[in-house]
Amino acid sequence: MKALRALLDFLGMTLPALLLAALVSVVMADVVARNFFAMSIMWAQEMAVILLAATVWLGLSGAAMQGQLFGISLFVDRLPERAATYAKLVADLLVLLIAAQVIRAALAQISTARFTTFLTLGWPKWIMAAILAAGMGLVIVGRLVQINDRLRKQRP
Amino acid sequence: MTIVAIVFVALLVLGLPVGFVMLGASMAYFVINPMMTSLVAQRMSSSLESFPLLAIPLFIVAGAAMARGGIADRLYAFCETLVGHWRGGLAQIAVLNSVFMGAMSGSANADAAIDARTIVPVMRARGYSNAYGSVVSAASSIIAPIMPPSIALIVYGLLTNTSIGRLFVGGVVPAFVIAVALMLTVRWTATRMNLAPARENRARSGEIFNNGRAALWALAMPVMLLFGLRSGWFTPTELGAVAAVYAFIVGVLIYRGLTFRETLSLFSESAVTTAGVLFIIASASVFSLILSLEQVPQQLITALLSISENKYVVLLVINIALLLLGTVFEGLAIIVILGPLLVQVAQGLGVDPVHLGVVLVFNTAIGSLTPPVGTVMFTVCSITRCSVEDFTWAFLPFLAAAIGVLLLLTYVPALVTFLPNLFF
Repeated sequence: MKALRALLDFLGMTLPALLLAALVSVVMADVVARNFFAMSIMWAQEMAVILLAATVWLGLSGAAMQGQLFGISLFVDRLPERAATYAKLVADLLVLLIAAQVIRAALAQISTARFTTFLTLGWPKWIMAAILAAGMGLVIVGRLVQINDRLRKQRP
Repeated sequence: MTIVAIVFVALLVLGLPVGFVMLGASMAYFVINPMMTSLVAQRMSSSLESFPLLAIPLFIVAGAAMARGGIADRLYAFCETLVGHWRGGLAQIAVLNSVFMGAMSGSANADAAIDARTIVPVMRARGYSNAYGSVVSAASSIIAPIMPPSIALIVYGLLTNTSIGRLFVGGVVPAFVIAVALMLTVRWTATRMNLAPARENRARSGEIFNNGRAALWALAMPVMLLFGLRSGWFTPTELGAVAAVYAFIVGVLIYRGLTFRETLSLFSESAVTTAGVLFIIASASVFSLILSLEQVPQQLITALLSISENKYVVLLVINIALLLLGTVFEGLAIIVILGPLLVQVAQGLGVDPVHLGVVLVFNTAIGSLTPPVGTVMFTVCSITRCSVEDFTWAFLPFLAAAIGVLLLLTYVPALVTFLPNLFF
């Protein structure tokens, strides 16, 4: 379990941080190249967009693990303890279901967008959907870890 | 559509994250109206394939670098000497700080994130409630989308073929009007809550000069960035990266407030905040597709326009509709979907597109603070760990003030159009 948590931390927190740093560097490098060397980095915009997608979809699991995905807890908080526990479990299961559906949609997207590529990088466009699927996969694993932790705490 | 609404409300009540609420409701629609499953992933991916959208993470990083590298501290100290002796001084400082920060970032999220990180902890330490501090940080950030270089105004200008230069100049006076209204609201709420000034006496001119000099690198930043923007050295989106690098250089070499460890944690925090905000935008793009397919925004606007042919009544109706839509939609989504439509309506009524743009952007900025879907509210609450419920109660006086300014800007167009007409 410890190794899994460390892996989730790396993929959901450290890696997105590095990708974001790379994003700032790529955009800045393009500005410098254009203004000081009279040449534009042709692939900079596409690379920046891919880095953004990777930051968001991988960082989503980090945000979820840190409780930074906001919802309205007003109603669940007012429920009696037992009912609130069930409501939270239902909410968790629904998140898992929705994330699984997004993965399914992403896989369908991968199979249909197999032949389109980024104009200057030449990379296949399906990598965006693949990153989305990976991010949602991490959300599912992270949520399962959290459910496991909660159930363990409640066990007498 | 009824099923979608029921699922939306049910998921919201169950406390699911807002992004998942919108995705869940969208999937309910796709179950009833079978379409290609890949559409959800395609919309989510393509919503992030936008270069202007990069401004959000870039300005979040820039904001974090300013907050940790010392720029925000210097600006804060300078603002304190100017308004710290007023009642509710810390909150007044937050508003004035946002005028300066807004002129650097152009993004409500970035500005709110900086205030939430820098000023709210100080407010809490001085006895302000967490909710009030969070609300002041969030409310003062609505200056940024109006103050040049505003990202929202750029998007509106691109979509409606309106001069971005005119829009930028048109935002200057309204930004100061909003700041004054927020300061008056702070004064009123501070009196009611008996919040003390941040300092006992008015600062002497020597102290103001010294703090101004210490903040020179910070104060010079918007001027240099705007100069670079106007000279065509970089685009408004790239401005975010330049601002971040500038803040890093000043933070490391001049103010010496950034270490390597701080930098890594800064990027980590920024990545998580970026993910949280952009996930909502990506989910909103799927949800807005459904609304577009069902022609909900158009139906709403048509229904509201059928109420009257009077220009002022129509503008009031549009404002009410946008405020209502703003509670459930991301501001950028509203601008993208309704901006071009509303410009046509407004031109038919003889309304200046610059005037409409500033009103529309300010309206959506208010929407970014209102639950259930308010991106700025989420950004601030995620940093200050404030509950959405507490935030909403504390926000009510500021909401009233913001709506007051919105009506003022709507019915006194000269406040927006005077400067652009003078310059262009």
